[in-house]
Amino acid sequence: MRRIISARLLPQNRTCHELGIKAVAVYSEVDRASLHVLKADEAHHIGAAAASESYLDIRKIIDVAKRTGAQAIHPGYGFLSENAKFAQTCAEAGVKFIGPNAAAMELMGSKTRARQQMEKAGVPCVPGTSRGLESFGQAERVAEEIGYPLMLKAAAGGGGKGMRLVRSREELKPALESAKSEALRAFGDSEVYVEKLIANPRHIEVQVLADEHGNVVHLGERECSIQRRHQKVLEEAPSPIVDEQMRRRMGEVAVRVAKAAGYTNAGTVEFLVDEARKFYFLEMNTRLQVEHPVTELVTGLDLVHLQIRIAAGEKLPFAQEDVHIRGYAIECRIYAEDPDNNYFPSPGKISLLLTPDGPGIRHDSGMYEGWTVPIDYDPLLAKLIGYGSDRAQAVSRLRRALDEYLVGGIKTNISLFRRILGDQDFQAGKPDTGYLDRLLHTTQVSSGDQHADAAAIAAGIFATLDSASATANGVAGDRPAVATASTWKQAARIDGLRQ
Amino acid sequence: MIYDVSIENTNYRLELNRTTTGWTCSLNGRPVQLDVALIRPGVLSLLIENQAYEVKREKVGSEIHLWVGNQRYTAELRDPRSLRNLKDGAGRQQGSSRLTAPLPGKVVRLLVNEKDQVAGEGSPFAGERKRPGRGRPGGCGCGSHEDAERDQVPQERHSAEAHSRRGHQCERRRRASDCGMNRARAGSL
Repeated sequence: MRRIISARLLPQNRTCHELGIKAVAVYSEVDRASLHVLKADEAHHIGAAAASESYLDIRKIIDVAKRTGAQAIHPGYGFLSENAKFAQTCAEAGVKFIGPNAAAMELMGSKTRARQQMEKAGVPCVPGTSRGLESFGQAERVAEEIGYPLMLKAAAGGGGKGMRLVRSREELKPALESAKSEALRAFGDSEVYVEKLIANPRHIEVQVLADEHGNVVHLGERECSIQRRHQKVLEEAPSPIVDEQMRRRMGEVAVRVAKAAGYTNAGTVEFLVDEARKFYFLEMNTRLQVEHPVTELVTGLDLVHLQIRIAAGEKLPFAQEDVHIRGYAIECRIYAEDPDNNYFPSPGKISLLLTPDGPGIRHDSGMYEGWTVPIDYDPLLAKLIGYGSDRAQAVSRLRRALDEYLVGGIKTNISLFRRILGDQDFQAGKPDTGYLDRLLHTTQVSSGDQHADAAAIAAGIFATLDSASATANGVAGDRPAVATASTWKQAARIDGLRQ
Repeated sequence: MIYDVSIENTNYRLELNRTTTGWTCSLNGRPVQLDVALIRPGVLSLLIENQAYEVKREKVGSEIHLWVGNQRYTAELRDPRSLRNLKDGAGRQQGSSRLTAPLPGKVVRLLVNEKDQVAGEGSPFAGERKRPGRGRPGGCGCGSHEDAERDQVPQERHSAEAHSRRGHQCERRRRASDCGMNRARAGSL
């Protein structure tokens, strides 16, 4: 391959450069100054900020591929990464889609169809229906069979949309109606199915890689139970509750899932694990996951690199027995959001950026000082990953790194990670999917004010330095010296003082 | 310099002096041995009684946050000898105040014009100021359909009481500015 197109992702650009491939970025009007554009070999504007007019516009992206002679498109995550129609259009245009084929994506895109296929392949699924509910009467009958509490889920769903918890018979009808309505609005498909609620589950996923020659391997699991509103916040590999035997069993099932779907390239098989450590197939994500760096760190493999080689038709360069898990890795998703305002997005200009480094720290970032975080997209700024020979070391390295980290000018969720990593339940490896909600409902104990004196002195020194700088430059504090260059303003001020 | 510093609602009286060899400092009347290095804009290294601190400053809107280690402090600082502070302390309802945009976005419509009279409970920017007080807009920092950054000042408000007093100053400033501009123009020609 000589040219690959990517959207809003830096790792693909870096890997392309390592492989001697030209990286072609596509960007919307608000992303001109984004890092993925700055680090690309070529960049092409594809439209307005609204994703529907740029990153979700299949025709525009294919046009760029044809114009630039790109041989492949890496869809990254989000946008069109799990869109079977896009994969199909790429194939028809003679451009390689770096991911699975459209048929596998379509199968896994429908949770009910995926369940049907997995049941045929003998994969354990959560008790429930494998087809959409056709009527309220059917929903009532199924609910009586499997028992309350239960979950209603959208067949085309994801991210918690079209999902409802039903605790009793009385709640079933309104929940079914609202789930259907939300699913229709979000996905254009009102199909809803039912699953037994697994109490206090863990969300554990297995990374798989499949080449186009029938070879499929798994790369161990990731623990993704720490979630807020069904969105992952912190991930780690390996899971604190998965031992070697359980890893092997989950891995075998994940490989079976990939084979049953005719899957190729990188994918993730998600499981719910109950309190007895029994696991059930949940769904398959047919793309690279945001949290893939933790798997890279514990396996020593470069997943984007392998994705490109698989897409180029190469065989997997290793077998299952060559995959070894070594050490622990934990990832924090750094978002531009305001912890004091219910994690509302906090876009704006980054005025100061201090990033951590040192042993065992990896910082995958899409930001830089002076960049303005747009309001138009998911406000993920960076991923901070800590690695250690054991979990305690990974935690302590990450806590140290968080103390060194500062993103000024906007609000971020960095303080949330300090809280999680300092929590005893987290350190004991106990969190389930309800952990973060419980933590956020507890009052945070103040860590004291032992540094308040230093803060008071620093406040005075900053003010004194600002004042000295203003005197030297003729302007206040942090404003750039270039602002003083206006002869018009200086003359006006002097004249004003004379009157 | 003498400052009244408030850190998380605890007040300090801070005296700082810059000498040829460094800084002298006293905190609440207690002398403090201090060494300071400015590492980069917004980042200080402090040695206080030989204890090392890295202090990072970030400005979020009108607030100043100071990070010492993993602890964040909200700081407010006043010069007790400053006439402006004395005036502000005497009556917050008087003088001009700034209404800022809480989030970035597009200004869809301006509800007031410059010099309009604003009723006590009728905010020109709904929800941005709980008790806007009486007054009239002194100037708008953005127009209808323009993008506003977070904490951009879309409007400066002059209180009714202060307006007549400030009006004189505004006029004087305007004349000064015009004269300066004319002079600079003349100079450049």
